[in-house]
Amino acid sequence: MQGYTGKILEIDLTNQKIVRKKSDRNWGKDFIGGFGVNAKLAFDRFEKGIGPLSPANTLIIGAGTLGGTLAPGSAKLSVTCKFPMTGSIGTAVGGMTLANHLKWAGYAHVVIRGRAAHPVYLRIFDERVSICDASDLWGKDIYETTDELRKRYGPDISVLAIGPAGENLVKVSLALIDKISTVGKGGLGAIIGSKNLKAIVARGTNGVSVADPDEFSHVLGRVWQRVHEFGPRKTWVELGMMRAWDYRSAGFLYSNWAHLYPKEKATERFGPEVYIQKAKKGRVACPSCPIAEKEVLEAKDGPFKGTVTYAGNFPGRVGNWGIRCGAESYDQVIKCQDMANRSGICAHSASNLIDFVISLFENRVITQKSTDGLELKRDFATTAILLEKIKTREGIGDIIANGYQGVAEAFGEEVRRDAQHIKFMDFQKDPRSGDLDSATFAQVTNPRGGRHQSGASFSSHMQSLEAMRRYGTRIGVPEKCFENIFDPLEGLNVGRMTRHCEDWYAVLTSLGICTLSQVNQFYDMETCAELYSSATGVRLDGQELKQAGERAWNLLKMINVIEGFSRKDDTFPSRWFEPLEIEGKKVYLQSYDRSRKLSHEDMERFLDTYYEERGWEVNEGIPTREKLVELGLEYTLQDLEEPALP
Amino acid sequence: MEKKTIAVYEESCAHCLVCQLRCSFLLTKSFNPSQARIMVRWDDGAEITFTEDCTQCGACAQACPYGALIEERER
Repeated sequence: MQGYTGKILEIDLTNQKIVRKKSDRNWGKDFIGGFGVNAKLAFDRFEKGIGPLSPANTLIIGAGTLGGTLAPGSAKLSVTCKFPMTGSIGTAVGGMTLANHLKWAGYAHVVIRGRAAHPVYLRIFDERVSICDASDLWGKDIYETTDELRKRYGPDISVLAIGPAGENLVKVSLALIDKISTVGKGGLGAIIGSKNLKAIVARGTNGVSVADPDEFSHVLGRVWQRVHEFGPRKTWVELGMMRAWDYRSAGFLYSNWAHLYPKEKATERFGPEVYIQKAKKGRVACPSCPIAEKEVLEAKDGPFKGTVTYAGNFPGRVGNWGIRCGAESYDQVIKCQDMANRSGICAHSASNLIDFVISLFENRVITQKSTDGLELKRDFATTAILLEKIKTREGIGDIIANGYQGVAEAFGEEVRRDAQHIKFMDFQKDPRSGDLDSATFAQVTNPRGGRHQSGASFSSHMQSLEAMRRYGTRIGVPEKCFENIFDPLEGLNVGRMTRHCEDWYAVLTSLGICTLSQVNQFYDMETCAELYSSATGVRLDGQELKQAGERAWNLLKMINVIEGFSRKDDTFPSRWFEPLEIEGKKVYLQSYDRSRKLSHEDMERFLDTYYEERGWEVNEGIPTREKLVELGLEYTLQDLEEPALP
Repeated sequence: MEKKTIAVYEESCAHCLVCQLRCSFLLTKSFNPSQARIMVRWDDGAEITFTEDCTQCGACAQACPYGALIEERER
């Protein structure tokens, strides 16, 4: 198989039908692969108005064009579907070995729809694809399921599995790949569970070839040279994300986006030195990744001593369980993480919701009448009980399991106004304590809800404007755009910059390259185009590749416009416009260069400029006919005129 | 005559499979770990083995980003 030209495997679980199709060669040129081709497949297959947990919801799984090769950090898997937490169609991204095994087996995409009559798992071993009985796996947690399948088929497989939360249609659920990488915040676990699908097992032994091995190898050599010359890599590998504790901790020491945890106390309990002594067991990499961001954690002491579990972005988990939920030590943090992983519960969503509900209890908005008689405290014991109740949908757990919509419906309009989310999905970055960078802003414009990865750039490290300009050049921002991005008044116009970061994100995830800045820093748009061209034999330059990324982003947007999403849904959380108290000082939302305080009106103006930079209609926040014609997407307008399904 | 051997430090391995991908690409011009002469298995720690036909050419060690494989020269 060469690059994106792998087959598409179509599975209908209702009729137990398995069909292999050739992919349209033009799709690779127009949409690159992975994320981009997923968007095309979604547009062709999604009917307007389907229920996220109905058999008609379709799981579209895509490996990137460079997946399965030696390109650094190229193992990312895109999963596109309609998410139950938000009701929008989005693309989740996961790591570890599934994308690679699918590519090595000969498949670029797997499309799954329908609902099996009883629990099943999907087995993809090269050309041999079957739907297998999973009655004995149903009810098992994700680790038990993965271990059992490895026992059955050997260690050289990849397993994507859901836990009991997914089986119980919990909206704050996700899936895990190889027990380690999360995928599908916003309810992917529930979608898979609604299909009576417990797991996907894959093993590929056919390999991936490229169109021009010599040129591909030559370009790869340049990229790996950059990897080996990157001095801080050693400490990234030693400490993982904990390396960035000093900077990042400011972004997650919150409870309910209102109170900051004292940093000194956080460092004393959870800082890098304590992490090495009390939590670190090892580190594991996705295939071809030189950074090894995934953590193997072990509680070294305390009541949960010996518990081994996994996490990516571990400081974020400290924020989830240690700060928001009140776990006091690493063994308690690891135990919470282990419970979430095994159940298939999203740590970010669940901890944010638990934090919110505890705050409601602290503020006497709700009482023990609403909590099954529990006195909700910000501590490990309460969190562990709530995690168990979410998993089984028992009592108050059933309310939390339905996300912010569920909590608002249960507890009233006042609660709805106070809930901090974007399109009903919790977010991770608050610009008051961090920076108003593209990653923060992109949480508002992402069709999937409050996800920051689509705007990820190294601007989140508060770089100088000169460095930002170099970054813009690297990710393919045309020189003519710089004048507007670097506004004389604002310094950085974050709205305009976000548009280009999203295009870069679309290119990376279409190629299968990791969007973590410490990984994709080794790439630039032109190098990506060289790798794409030598892998596929289809010649594209950097600007053509960037436009393919833009096309993919616009198509995903149009799928959501057809569903009724528009500017009214691109909203800013109310708390961003309230002061945050840090060490006795009130801190307000500020511009990127921190030269002035920003109001809600200022942010709406940034949103105007984001739509302008995209070539979209500003009042509605949707693509114009002119833009769609430019990108060859005018066919999407036909669907816009069709009425919604009842 | 100088002879090369590959020293293995499993505790440094992160299971990135770069060694297998590099080996298979040199042998077959395709990226196919199942065709590599080095095999890495993972269970919260790595187990690294070589096939009988491995010539200890050192390509895997040159590619390893984690220092789990080190090329050593013996006289």
